[in-house]
Amino acid sequence: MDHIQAPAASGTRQAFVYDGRISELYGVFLLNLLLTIITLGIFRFWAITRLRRYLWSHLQFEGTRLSYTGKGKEMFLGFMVAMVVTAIFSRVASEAMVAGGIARTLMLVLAYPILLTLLGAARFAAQRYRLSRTEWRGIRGGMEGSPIRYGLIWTAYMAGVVLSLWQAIPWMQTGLARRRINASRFGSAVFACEALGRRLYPVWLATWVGSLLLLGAFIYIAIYGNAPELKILLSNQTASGRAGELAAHLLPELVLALVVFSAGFALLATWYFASLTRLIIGGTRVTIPGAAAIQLSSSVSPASLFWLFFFNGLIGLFTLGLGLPIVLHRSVGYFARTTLMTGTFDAHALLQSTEAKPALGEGFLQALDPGVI
Amino acid sequence: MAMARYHDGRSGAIHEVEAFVFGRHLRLAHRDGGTMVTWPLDAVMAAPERDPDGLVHLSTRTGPGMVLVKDSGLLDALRRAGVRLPGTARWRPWQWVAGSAAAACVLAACGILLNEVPTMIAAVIPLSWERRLAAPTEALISASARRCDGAGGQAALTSFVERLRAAGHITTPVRIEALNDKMINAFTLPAGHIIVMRGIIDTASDGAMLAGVIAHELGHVAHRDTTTLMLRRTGVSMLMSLIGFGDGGTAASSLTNLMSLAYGRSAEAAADATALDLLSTAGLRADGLSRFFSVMEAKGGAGAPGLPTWLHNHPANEDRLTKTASPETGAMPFTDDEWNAIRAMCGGGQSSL
Repeated sequence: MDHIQAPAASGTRQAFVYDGRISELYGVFLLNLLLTIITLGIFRFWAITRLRRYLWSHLQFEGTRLSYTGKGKEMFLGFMVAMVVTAIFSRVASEAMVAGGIARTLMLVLAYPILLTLLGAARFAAQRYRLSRTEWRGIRGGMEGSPIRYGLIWTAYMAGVVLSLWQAIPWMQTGLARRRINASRFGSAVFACEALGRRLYPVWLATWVGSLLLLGAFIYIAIYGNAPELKILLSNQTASGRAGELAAHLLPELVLALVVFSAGFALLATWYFASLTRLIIGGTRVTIPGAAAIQLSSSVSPASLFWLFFFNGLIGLFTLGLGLPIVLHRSVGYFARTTLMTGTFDAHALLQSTEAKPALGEGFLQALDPGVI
Repeated sequence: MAMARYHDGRSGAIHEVEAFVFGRHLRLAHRDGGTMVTWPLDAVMAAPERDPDGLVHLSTRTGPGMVLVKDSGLLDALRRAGVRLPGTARWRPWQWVAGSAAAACVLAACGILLNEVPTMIAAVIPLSWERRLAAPTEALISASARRCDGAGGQAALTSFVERLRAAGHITTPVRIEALNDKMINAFTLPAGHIIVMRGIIDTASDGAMLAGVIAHELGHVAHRDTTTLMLRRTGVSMLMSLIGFGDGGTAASSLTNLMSLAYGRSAEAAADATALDLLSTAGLRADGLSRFFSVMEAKGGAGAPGLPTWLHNHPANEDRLTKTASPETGAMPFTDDEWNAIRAMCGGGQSSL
């Protein structure tokens, strides 16, 4: 008997268990920071890789740790290729602008769609790279489909969002998430997401209207309510002593109005994000051919998400970026705690991926939209 | 023989196996005997770190699969056979101490570099480059502020500045301008451009006070403080974006503000000292600066809303007041006619509420 029978859990449980420590994360982070500074930034690709290796290895799925097998060199080469492509693009763009006439018009019309498509494609390719470098019991992930096609769809959604005066955002966010999730594989496991934008629209509308009301209230309290004082203050006729008095009188009210507005807006935004997360993760199911499907769900709540963002923001602000490990630790822990799964996972039925591994690492995303991990 | 975990790379099943080195091979066997796989040792690779449970992850260049090993006997055998293995998973205390010390040294070195290098560059940078540094601010000022163009006042200010330049052997050409703004503020742009707001002229009760403030700004010109500050700002945001904090926006600006606060105080004190020096070398009354501080102090000090920005990040007022205190000896910096022309140069009477 050389098979270990995994504990056959089937109820709703945490999909991932995170057991990283802030102190160890600081060990990784400080060395990264040091080497990145010494190498004038070139080390950043190896730094991101080290950080991911740490985080992945502290996430367990069904009792086995994930591992990250990406290499800094791959990401660096991908970045170099992306730099060459962007250099060529900007050269062509500037030539077209100088040439004038039809070339210039064409460039003015096409530059944004092209850049957006590249950015969309870069996000898809980056997720594909990360999945292909993620291993669990020697099985790796992957993604099907074309990044450029995803980039084009992303651009079309963007146009729709602008034309609909931002009302199409729920459709864009769920639609793009659906495409990314449906394209994802882990070994022979297939992901399927059924999240629909229209289910999210009421929340979006309420957020939108709520924010407008808040803004109206802010303007009313802060500006309309203090119109006489503001008029004097802005008329440039005040001696500075008197101006100071007026400002001192106005300041508490202005600050209060600003705090109420920001807090209200943040609560609405986190409510929306919590709903989005629950809809997308809750609408996702993982199927292994020859085994029962697993249903994912999310226990993200607006309040917990609000505190996560709020304290992460404070940490980021007051530590000048040196609090990054704390922010990462909190975020990954939160993700692990709130992502749930239901159903029996049959590891024996899970077979190796047949997808080819992409050779270059997410260079475009790093070039266009660098992140910290 | 050692127990190990084997993932065959074909399915998600876990195999408990016995692993051992046999000749130039790593062999994995079922617990009941039969050989499962044999990997040539030359092709065996280890992951760069042990996993959090202390397991070493081994794989082979020749195919799929992964073995997780903890047994030190087996690991020693592999190491002896020339397989490169990761060290212990955790840092020892001395490694922590050495690492933190190294990090602190690098950060301190960066801090010193960011502080000192801009000063050194500012000292040798050509005037034309300084003008380019100043260009955006200059454009902003010409777009948003009205210049005070009284010819007599302008002539008085220019000749006063030239006198001090000659006294202090300041080689940078200096241009001085008054702006019609009630803000009590004066500042210096790179390339020796001094700007005095109407608020300063209105606040000064005599020419010596205004002279003190202008002499202080000339101190900044002589020390190239504004250029240094701008270079430092650029350096900080470059460094922040280098190490991956996006465009370095918030973090960089708060870091620069912190640094310029600390640095700003010594720069202000140095400019005060130079101001007194310039005035007394030129044989002029040097008590104006100190008296200007006491007027500002009486107005309520720095920090209150709507109050003079001229005092922002300047050393504590009382301290400056005592340090700049000077006897009322020497000639008045401006004649009565000059002083009246300066007071009138922004287009007549003071505004008041």
